[in-house]
Amino acid sequence: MKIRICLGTCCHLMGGSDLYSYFEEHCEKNGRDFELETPSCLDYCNRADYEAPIVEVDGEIYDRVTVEKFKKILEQG
Amino acid sequence: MSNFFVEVDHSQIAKHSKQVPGDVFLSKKLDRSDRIVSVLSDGLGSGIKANVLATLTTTISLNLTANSVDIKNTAETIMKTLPECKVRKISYSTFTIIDIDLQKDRVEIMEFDNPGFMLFRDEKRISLDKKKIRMDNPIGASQTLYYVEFNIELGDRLVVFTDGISQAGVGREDFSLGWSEEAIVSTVGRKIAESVNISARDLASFLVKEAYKIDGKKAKDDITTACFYFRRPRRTLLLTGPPVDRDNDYKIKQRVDRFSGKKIICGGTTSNIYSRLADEDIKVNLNSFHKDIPPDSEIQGIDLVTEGILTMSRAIEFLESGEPAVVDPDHPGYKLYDYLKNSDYIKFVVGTKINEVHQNPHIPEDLGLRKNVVKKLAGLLQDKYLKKVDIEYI
Repeated sequence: MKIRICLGTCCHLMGGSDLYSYFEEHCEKNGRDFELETPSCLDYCNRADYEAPIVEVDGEIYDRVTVEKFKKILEQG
Repeated sequence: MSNFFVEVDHSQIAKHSKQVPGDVFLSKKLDRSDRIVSVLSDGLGSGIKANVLATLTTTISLNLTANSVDIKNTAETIMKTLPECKVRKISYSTFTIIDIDLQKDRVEIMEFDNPGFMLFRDEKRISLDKKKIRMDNPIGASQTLYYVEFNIELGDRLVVFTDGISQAGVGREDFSLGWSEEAIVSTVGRKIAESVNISARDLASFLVKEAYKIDGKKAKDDITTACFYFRRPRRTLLLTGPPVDRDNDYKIKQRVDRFSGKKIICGGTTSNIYSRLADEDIKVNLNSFHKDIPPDSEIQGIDLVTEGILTMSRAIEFLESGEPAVVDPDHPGYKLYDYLKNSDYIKFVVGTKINEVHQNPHIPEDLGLRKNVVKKLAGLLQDKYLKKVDIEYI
């Protein structure tokens, strides 16, 4: 699973850093095959139909991602 | 802009058992000109009284020299007004005035009763012909001052000190006449040869500590040294924010290519633009991840790549506090602070496109305008840290 957590200004402020911390604490050690990237800006926050924080999972964009939502996305994947 | 940057700093240890030193060093960079005026004065006696006398002498000399065209006029005025000790018939304080004009790459020095300054070119001391000037003090007694002017060369170091240095060790058998001029020259020369890039601050501190050791770690007089290091300015380019017009994106790469010095990009979109134009990958440095701030990244050819507004705001906090309380060298805000603090000239290139997302009501209002953050950062660097700063908006 390829995960990209945006850590641009807006995403960071709106909870992107919590998503990264959650990933670091819970996902990296559970043996699943994750590939993580933390781009400095995915450039989605500028679009009217998206709201930070943004996460991309296997090419699909998710917005307004909370830790709960992130957990679910990872479980479904 | 001059080819030189002058690093000015001093170091001091007060006479043993005195809380306040009687030596005073003041330096002032004059606005809108490339002049730096500095004065070192040793007040008669020690402690508070000496400090007041030396403070008066340095302050008056500094302001007069800054406002006068001629260093000799300043010296004359000071000589006419300096009070005299009725018992010892000597002036209440000494002075060395150093007037540096970087537009002409020229230095003028006027000395009265302090040990003679030393000029080092690499580790060699350069001897200069000083002109003897006679001036009368208020009671008509003739006094001797020394005047010299010379052109600066890259790498020159000026070392100015009070008699706490030259008379260190007086009374010791092996230092009966104090620390001789030859011995001071060879100590300083050796130190410069050992550490060719030694800062003005470290050289001044080294010399003061050596004298202190000679005094048996109980300073017999106030020990003060001021150093001036004429070196190439350390230049830094800081790019932040995308241009208003996308057609101007090329300017980001162009400014980087044309600049010689350290290069910093603050901003995710800005680094994306540069990465695309330069065809270089961005590698996020997760070791620098901190809860309060996004991590920094690496791009070939750029010395530091960080997020924009939050990181600059943290650097502002660090600069405002003087020295950050907890120094974490991996913190991106600290890295930025460190780069800026160690630069002499900073060129900001600021893209003025407003990031509409930053106008989001959930985001602190003061983060909304990049221009304001840059203005604050530039103002701080200029006013508090005496850096030369330019801002270009694109």
